[in-house]
Amino acid sequence: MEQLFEVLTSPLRLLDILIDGVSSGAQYALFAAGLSLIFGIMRLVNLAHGDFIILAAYILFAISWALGALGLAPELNPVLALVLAAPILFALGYAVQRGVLNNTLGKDVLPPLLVTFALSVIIQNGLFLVFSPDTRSIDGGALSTAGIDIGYRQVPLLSIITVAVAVAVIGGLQTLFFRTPLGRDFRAVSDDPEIAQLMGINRRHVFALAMGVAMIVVAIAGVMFGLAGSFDPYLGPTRLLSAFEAVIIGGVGSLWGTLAGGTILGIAEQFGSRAFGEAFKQISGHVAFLLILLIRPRGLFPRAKD
Amino acid sequence: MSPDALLSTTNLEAFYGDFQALFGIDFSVSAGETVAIIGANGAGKSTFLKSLVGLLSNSPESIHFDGQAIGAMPPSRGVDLGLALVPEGRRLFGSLTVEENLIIGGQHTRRQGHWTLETVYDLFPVLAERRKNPGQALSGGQQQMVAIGRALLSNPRVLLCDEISLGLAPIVIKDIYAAVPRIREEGTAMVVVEQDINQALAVADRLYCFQEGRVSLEGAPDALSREAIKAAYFGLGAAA
Amino acid sequence: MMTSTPSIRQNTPTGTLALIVFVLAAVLAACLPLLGHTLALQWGKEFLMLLALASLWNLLAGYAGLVSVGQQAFVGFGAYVFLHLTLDPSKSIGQDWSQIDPLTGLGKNITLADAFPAWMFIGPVHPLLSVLAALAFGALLAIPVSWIVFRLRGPYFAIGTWVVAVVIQLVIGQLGWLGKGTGTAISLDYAFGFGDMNAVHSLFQNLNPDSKKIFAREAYRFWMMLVATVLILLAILAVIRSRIGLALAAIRDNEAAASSLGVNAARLKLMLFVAVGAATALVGAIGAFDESGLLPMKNFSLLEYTAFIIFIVVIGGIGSFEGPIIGTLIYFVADKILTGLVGEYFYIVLGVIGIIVMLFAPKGLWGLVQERTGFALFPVRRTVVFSK
Repeated sequence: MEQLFEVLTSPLRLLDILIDGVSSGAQYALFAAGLSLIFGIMRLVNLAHGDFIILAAYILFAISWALGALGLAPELNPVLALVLAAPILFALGYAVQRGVLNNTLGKDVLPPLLVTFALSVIIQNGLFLVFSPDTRSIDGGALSTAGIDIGYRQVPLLSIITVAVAVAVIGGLQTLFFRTPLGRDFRAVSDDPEIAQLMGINRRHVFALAMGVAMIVVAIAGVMFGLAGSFDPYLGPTRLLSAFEAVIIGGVGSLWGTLAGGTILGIAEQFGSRAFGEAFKQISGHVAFLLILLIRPRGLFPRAKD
Repeated sequence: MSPDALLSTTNLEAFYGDFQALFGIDFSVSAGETVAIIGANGAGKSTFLKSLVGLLSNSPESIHFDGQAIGAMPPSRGVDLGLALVPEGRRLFGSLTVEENLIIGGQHTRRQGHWTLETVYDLFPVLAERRKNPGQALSGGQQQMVAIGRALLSNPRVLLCDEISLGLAPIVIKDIYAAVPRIREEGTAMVVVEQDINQALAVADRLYCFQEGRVSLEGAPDALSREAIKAAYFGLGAAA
Repeated sequence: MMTSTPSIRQNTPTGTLALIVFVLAAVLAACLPLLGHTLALQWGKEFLMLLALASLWNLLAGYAGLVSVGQQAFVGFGAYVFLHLTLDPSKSIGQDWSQIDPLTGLGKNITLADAFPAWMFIGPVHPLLSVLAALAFGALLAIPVSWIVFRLRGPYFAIGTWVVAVVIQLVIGQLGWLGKGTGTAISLDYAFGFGDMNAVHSLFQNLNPDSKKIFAREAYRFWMMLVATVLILLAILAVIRSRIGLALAAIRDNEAAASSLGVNAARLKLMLFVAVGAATALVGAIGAFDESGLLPMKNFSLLEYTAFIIFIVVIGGIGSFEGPIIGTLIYFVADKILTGLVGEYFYIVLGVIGIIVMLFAPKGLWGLVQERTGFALFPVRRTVVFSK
């Protein structure tokens, strides 16, 4: 109780909660952006989404490590690795969608759920076999360790970068959606898949492109996640939960809403952990999610249509 | 079947699962021709149009377009061939603006022709004023114009119109049908499905009447008597 | 022209035969302990548990359309209720090695009474009663859970159940001695030190004087699981053959149309969710822990109590009564054989098989059989019989 009182009455503690909450919230928003995109366009919830993020983190870790072995500066490695990995992950997303997931889409909700669930199990155990259960992290050199001094504390540079990246990604996705022909196709297919075909849109191809785009977002999320801390093959499901909660809190169908949702989730976690103890961090986030779900089931900023 | 038919069906059958909706439809439309299809609700008119564009799967040989068998064609191939549908109920894309709805109609085909954004706005000036509005924020009649414009932007050789007067006030219907002659001028063939018999008779070179999934009457409007049409429409007695 | 009203027939000769075989199999299974083989008993219990959980999950997902990825919460919850009730509060449940007792040189003894207020204790309660209590508490848990998850639709419902399961796991993990990290090893003797246990022990000792008390306990648990599984399967069969089953099929085909006919879809789904939650807790209470004792992570394991279950139902055939039975058989055999063959690739192989089956045989193996033959071991369909 004293901790709680202390937190509520100390402006610096509250500022801490805000800063760290926004920072982790940005990460959650990155996790969630890909999920939200895919659900918006093809009504598919990828239960393996979190595992794809971890997969991306591992791929980026491997490439980044290799680049480091070649002698590149550790600050550049993750960026370069991302540039190199993005096409790979795009292709992977395209292939998985075109080859497997497209065949699960239809009226029945079960096949996509079960197939992506199986994918989740496969990815986790595949990673375990290849990389062992040891935790890894991506070495970003100064990127990971530098901090900005704001008087009473340091704000990690990485946190600021993560927030900037999250805003940029969501802004980029919005631009893609509303100012490009591909985005137009995405929106049309989401609105009316049947009539969209009559416009000459090849659904299978467009869905696969969407998954490819989502995988690029996943790659970005993966690299930010890998730089911020350590990961092991089994962290996928908890990433999915955070992503999912951010989407629901923010409101299904709105990417900026997802950013807000992630921020709220992050702040709730920080508050819980500071007021009640580290052990309550996770559960505070879940409780916030459940409360919002009970009070406003459609989220805070839902799109009118869904 | 006229030998120079652009689009024709031979013994076309269509099923929704186990339910048979069309029983052996023979149909044709030639280049530049306007053909009307009338019939009561459930007669199979919309099913027929869906079959033509590939939204329903049929036996390949049962539909021919310009000599090609397209019965089993996937729906995304129609625009390239020159076959465009104005769907029943408009079916505009809600997340797109009026202009985006129009653009997307022609975006995925390399077909060129008279119809561009400018000429469509010329045809339906009210749309130009509302080009940035969300597609579904327009009145019913305006939405219908957008739907027609969207189909036109693929410069089709055959334009299929599914009940474009549905749910619209008579004065609005007049405005919409005023566009038909301008479309015909460009040489586009049209298949017009209508519940409004008078409207159908006014625009058509030839008329088909569907009744419970079958063609119950066919001919040029001036060759058909009112009684014959009524009988065919409601399925009373033999066709004239 | 009919001279008498037609009757509705649901049973088929095959169905009656299958039911007889089912009963015989149950009776045969009950004799398993007589073999005196502990491993056989453990495998038997494992098989029955999978079968029960799979059938229950199938009822939710295949019949009511509720895909839950959170049933493991009920499994773990049931286990904890059971343990909490059957344990004597004064018995030691472990050692706190952060406080060494100077007299014994061992960690300070922790008892249940140390961690909970006295009013919470009713125990020690007989295992059979505890198990029934787990059933009741499972139902009670399912109700607030449903308030939350029923606000979500389709795939989001699935993830929602997962979130709630995680929360339940975390909350229970925080409660006193139950949590404390990886849990403590509690001898199951504490739970089963009752009079009838000794009678069972004596029974086995008559057969084989070397028989240990542990064996008697395992036999007892095996019989509990057998009875529970048989009852659960019969209950599920009764439900899907009844008008509730008909209503569920109607909802599956077209919920709006079913509603217009007076089917209250929401209430039906809720009832099923609560019933399945209760039954799942019951199964968890009987079977979810072993010699290694109380492990929060294991008892709420997503993998064991949901992933494998889903795999079983998918392979066997979702939405049919026979499906989970076949699926459990296949999985069980595959588990015992494959682990030797493919070792650590087991999960990957399972996942790939699951995907292939889902893509090419969405109704599972039994679904393939049904499509070809229209055959049903346990008939659910009704036929109208016109008598002359």
